[in-house]
Amino acid sequence: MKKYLILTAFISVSFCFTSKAQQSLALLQENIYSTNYNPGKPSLYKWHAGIPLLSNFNILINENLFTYKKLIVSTDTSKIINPRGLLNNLKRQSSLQIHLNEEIIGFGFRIKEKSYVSFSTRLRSESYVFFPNELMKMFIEGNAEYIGENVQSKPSVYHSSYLEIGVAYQYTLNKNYTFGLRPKLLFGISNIHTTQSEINFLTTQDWSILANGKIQANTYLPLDTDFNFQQEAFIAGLFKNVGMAFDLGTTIKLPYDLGIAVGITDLGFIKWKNAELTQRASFQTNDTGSFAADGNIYFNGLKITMQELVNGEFDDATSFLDSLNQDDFFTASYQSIAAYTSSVYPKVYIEAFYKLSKFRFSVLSRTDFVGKRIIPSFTFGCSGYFGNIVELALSYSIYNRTYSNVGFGFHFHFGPVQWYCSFDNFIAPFIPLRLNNFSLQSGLYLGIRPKKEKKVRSSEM
Amino acid sequence: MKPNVRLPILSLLTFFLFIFSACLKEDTFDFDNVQIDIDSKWAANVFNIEASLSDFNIDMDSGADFSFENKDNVLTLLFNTSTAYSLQGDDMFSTSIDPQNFNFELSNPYGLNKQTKETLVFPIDTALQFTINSMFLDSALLNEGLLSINIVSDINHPYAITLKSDFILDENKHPISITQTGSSSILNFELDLSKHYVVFTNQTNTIPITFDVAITPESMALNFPYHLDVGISVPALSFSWLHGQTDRVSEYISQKFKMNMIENTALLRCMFNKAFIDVEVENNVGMPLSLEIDTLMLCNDIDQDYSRLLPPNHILLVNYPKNKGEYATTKEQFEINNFKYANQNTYINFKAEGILNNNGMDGKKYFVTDSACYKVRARIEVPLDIDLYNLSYYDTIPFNIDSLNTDQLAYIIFRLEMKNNFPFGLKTQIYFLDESSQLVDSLFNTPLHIAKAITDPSNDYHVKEATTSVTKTNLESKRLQALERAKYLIIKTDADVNSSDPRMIFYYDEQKLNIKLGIQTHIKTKF
Repeated sequence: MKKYLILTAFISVSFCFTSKAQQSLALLQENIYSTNYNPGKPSLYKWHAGIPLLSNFNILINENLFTYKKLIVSTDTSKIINPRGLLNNLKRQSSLQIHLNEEIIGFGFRIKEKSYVSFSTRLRSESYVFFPNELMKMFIEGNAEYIGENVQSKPSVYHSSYLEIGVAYQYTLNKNYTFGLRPKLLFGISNIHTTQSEINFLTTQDWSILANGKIQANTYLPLDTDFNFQQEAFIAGLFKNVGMAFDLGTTIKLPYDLGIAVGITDLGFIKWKNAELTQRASFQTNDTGSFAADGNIYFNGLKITMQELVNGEFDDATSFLDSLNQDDFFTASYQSIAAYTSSVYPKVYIEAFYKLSKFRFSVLSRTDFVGKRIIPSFTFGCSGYFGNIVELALSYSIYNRTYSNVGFGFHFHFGPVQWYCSFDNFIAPFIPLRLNNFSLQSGLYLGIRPKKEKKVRSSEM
Repeated sequence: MKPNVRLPILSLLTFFLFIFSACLKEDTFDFDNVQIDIDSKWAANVFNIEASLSDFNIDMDSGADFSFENKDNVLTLLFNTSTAYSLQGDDMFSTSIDPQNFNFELSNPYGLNKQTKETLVFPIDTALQFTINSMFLDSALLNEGLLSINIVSDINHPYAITLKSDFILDENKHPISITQTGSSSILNFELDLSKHYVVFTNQTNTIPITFDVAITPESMALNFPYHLDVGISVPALSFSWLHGQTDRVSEYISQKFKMNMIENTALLRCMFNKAFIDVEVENNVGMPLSLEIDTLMLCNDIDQDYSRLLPPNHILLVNYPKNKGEYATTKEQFEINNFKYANQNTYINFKAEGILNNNGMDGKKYFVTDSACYKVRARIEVPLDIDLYNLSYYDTIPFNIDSLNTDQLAYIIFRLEMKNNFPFGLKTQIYFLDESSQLVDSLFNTPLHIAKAITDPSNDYHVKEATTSVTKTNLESKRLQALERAKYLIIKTDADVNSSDPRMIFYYDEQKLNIKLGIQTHIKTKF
């Protein structure tokens, strides 16, 4: 009874934080795909086999800038878009992330009780868009709030989609120490890799405006330099962009029902070699031209001679704006390059857990490394078996500076049939107007435990 | 799955779906009527003006103009005054051909009184009289003129009359010859004389012409003598040019060459320490011109300062062009010192008699075109080494901020940054007036004062140090709303001069006024 009270209390606290979960699946001990986050997490199966294309599907859409509630105010007669509602979220890094994962074929089997080998082929896509927060904030508030202050933003886009073929080996020593390693061969499909990004905007004390910027990104997309779709070159290049990556991890049981787990995944790179589609997009402010000075776009007022002023001959603002063109300010290009290398996006998972009866309480830290940026997240979770056929997990996460992440997951096993599903935004239905995250992971596979462990529960690990 | 587990899960999922749909109103995603709330503060420089005297190059209504030029790094003010014009050539020399009537009798050349089949030709010589004052012509190019000839005869046989002249040439310089046939008693000729050359062989301004009358007898008898009444007229005769000897042609010209500049908006009083005045005559008439100048005087009525540049009855011999269409220019320069100038009423008084070909008929031949004339004007160069006494500028400009919704602006701050390199300061105020010229507001609480640059008298008054000032004026929402009534702006600027040492020298690369106008505003609106 006491355990149920603790669980109830945890759920209640989670709801008070108006949150959503992120890593619910990682908490499900039964689920073989939780080893995707840590190949050193012990497998409970004698063998498993994924049902092709149905075994593991994951979609994550997450952004931490916009919610309906923050941006839009409804009145009786109209809706008012209030950009100032975003100011609070713009104070720190904001981003949009879209992750997709689909396992094509996957299976694994135990060798001599202590080793487990698995094979998995997955299609993966990970996209990160980092918004120019500082500039957006300035354009909402106006530059008068930033006089004398250089507003610098480094917007960037990172995207990789690829086919991943991995073989994992896991070894358990003395039932307390499990180590895992998963080397992976990668075949790149598409990529955007920002190599340089900086935009500066300064309103000087005398109200002159200086701006400069340089953004450069390597891309591998099914487009030529004129943005025409290149289907043949894209298909022909599917297996030309080869890369490698490693996942490794360990789980260590400690005394007093405590334990820790550490995993590092996606440590690797892809070399994009199909020269037909490797391009470089660049955008750069001009350092010469009508509105340039010292390498900046420089606006110090419309230049008027006394003659024009006396004769009233100067153009009005509309004519001035009409007279402007892109060449006055920046140069943009999209050009072919020979080849380039981009890293995939490593993640570090660190978990501490505590077993209490049939429940397992976890604190999980996940850190994404994207370019030079770090995206930390923390998850507090609990999982446990109910009725010997279902494992449930509940979590609360702080992720991408969003705090309303309550997750929920379940894993049914009907004999060898394993069906699981986890939602990373459990309470979204209650607050759809505050929704800025959506995540779902689900799948169906076959899995047989060793005979002596057929009734193993997570608390007995 | 045990029923006691399955039921709560299915119930929970159903509950979530219900809650999700219940939390969305039907108009949640109805964006038919959407507004964007703008609440932001913006600041930027709007105008950046670098005012230099050398920027000025202004055409005046009178045809005069003034500008500033760099001469050895000293700015020089150049006036081109208004211009006095003589009569044009077609007014100086009017031309015409008087209507003329001739009677001719054709007598029987062979004593025939019976039928003959031979064509009989009777040449009749006569002349057109060209009327022109003061010239003996030797050639001309006609611009317009229709030679009209009416012939009434009693010839009772078919006949033809040919008009020909070796002294009237068409535009290809071929002698004219035109023939008209007649079977009745009336025969009319017309010849367009435009672009026709006329050659005069003697000094009588006459043009010889010949009529050849050819009669082709028919069956009836010849009834000699026949009679012809010939009427000739050339209405609306005009010329492109005339060439020949001419008499003396004189014309009296009197004009005030105005030296006003921006007199409607500025008041300037100063003393030119030195000025050069070029009287310039451009002559387009192809004959000598003498200008007998009665008066050439620099006048400033305000300060009662008058300077005679020439003694009375000074004769200026003016060049003349050797080819038609060209101008010959003659200049005479005068230097004047310490002359007081007022921009609203300073002028050069010019009175002269222009005499073309003062020697009269002396056997020399000249030309005149229909548009030829001579014109007189003055060009004044003033190196800007002056004593400045007074300079004020005032202008009224229509003003309208109807298009600006002041409700949307919490305030406007004007930031005026000025850097003054001029050796005089400025006191400026801008007034807002309503439709009935009542004061609504003024931009500055007290007139904006820009101090003069510091100059060094021991170093030819070069600028030692510019002065800089920054002024911010805040117009709050209430003042902005009041300005909606304003229809006019009055800008008033007075120069702040050093009365004890008003001398200043303006150098090309020194005297500039940089004005930077910035605007900061708080926009609060929905659109």
